Amino acid sequence: MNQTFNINRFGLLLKRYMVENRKQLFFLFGVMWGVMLLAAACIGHYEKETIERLTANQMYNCFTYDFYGTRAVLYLVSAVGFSCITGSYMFSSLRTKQSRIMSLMLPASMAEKYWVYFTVYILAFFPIFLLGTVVADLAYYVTAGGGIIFQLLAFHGSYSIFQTDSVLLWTVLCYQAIFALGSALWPRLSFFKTFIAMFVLSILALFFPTLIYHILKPFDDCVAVLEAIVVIACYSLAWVRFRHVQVIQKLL
Amino acid sequence: MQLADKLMDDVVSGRIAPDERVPSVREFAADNQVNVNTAIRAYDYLATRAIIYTRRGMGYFACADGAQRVASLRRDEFMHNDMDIFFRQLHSFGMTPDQLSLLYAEFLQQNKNI
Amino acid sequence: MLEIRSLSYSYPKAAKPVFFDLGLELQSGNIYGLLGSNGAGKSTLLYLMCGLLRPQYGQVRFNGHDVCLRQPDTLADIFLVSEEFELPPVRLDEFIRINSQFYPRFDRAAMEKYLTDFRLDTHLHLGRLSMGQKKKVFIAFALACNTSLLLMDEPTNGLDIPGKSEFRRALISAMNENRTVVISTHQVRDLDRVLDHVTIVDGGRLLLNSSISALQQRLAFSLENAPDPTALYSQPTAGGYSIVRPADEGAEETDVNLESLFEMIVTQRQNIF
Repeated sequence: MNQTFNINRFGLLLKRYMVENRKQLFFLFGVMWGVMLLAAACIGHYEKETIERLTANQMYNCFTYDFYGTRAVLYLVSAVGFSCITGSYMFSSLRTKQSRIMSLMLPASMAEKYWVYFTVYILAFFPIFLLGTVVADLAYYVTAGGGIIFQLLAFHGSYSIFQTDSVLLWTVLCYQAIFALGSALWPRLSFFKTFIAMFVLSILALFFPTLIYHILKPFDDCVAVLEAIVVIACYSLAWVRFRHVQVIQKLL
Repeated sequence: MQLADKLMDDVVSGRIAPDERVPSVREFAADNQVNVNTAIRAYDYLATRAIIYTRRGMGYFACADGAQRVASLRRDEFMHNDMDIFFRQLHSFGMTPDQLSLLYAEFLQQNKNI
Repeated sequence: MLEIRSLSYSYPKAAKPVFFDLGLELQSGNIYGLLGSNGAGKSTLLYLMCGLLRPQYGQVRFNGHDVCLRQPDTLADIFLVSEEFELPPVRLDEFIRINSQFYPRFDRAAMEKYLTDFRLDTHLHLGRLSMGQKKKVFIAFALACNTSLLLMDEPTNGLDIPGKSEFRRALISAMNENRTVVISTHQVRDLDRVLDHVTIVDGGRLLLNSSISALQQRLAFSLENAPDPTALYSQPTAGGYSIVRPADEGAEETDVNLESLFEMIVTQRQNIF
């Protein structure tokens, strides 16, 4: 049997992880859906008057009123925010000594374990998020009202927020990767600590404007490339850290 | 040997009949919560004194005359170890052989069924 | 067969090593007792035995494989019943179904037998059990995985008195010549008749590494009314004094009093061999 990666064992491990952690996963993704749904419903409630006025005067088309604007901001903020939160859960199985022991002693390779965490918290995020925007849109339609034609015109498609510019997708991936690395470095209170670390680094960066300028200049036209490099670097460092984790460590 | 005593009790009382199978070494170890090696030593002790015997592949069985052998073994042990102390005690009370004989006869009368 | 060679380990950022140049060989078919005072590093040694910790120097090899490599095949033959463990809040049959597949020699019938021994129902929800019951389930699962190496850290801790008996019974019936069991404990009385072999660690060093039968040949243990200054050790107990002396040639072997032996070795650093 291939000691580094076996697809069958990976599948068993993935299934095991999802069953044993279903409460955590339901909570995590449930809160994400819940927040987006409620916020979209609130937006619909506040836009209801405007929409009623427009539909009454038959003065609607996709150019007279941007029905999507506020929701787009909501979805953008949610994408960044929740990708960071789910990223910070990537190594949540290393949080306590008990769970570290159980997960390290499981007969599977470290690579298989790593890719299970990656699949559950990083890859799965995207389809679940997109479905969440659809659900949120539905909530918006319910509260905003208006005729069926209006609703069709108002529907831009949530996927468009990623289609407009691939930079947005890479930005989300980049932030998510940073928080995933934070999860590997600091499994306890990961989100909080990573956030503080980012904040501190940003403050420090203010003291070295010329250095930052020189680093970022080559990527002026292709920010996505820079972000891709950050993503690969973060996941590689997380792997190195995870590979050598020990049950007793000075885990911050 | 304390552990062997348990099995000897069963044999001498008839709870295990002659040529009846005794528990396997592992069952005996588990029941008494001792290490298997300790149980093996107890069984060796009993086998050497012909209280139990082994049939290859089938386990251990009580010897036909196991009960008599246990009784004889215990009598020898009593006479070798405890009897001297017992008689000294009796002597210190001032008990005569006749009195002892009477008490024993009375005991046998009252405990006919053991 | 577990081989520990020249093992040295210090806790992170500690000046003094917990273990220094430790060598130990564990043969299969034996139940090893790892005794030591609290804080002597018994749990640490168990973690070193299964690759949860990496030694600064030396090696731990299980059937020839370095445990630090954490190879899945090696892990599938090792099970650790740690003192701190957690069971997911799922039904027992779900837990068995998803976890047993990682242990190729898992025996379902044996699991049910051990659960019965522990007087537990097979239809349980792990989230609704008390700590003691969870421990019994975990131990039953560990035994049923049929790994060649079974490590247990204070297994009787948290078990009620009937539970301790049930545990001893289950452990003995699960034992065979291919299995090595290492039990670390400071509750010596719970396990003294079950062990084959005793290892005592203190101050980072191996103070004793001997089979019970060797100890029975070398030492005689008795309970007497008064301490004996000429004996190796006299320990006051509830029934009098527990005395340890060198055994007489040809005398009948006595049961080893592990508590007295432990106290003797640790307080007096007696070298009995």
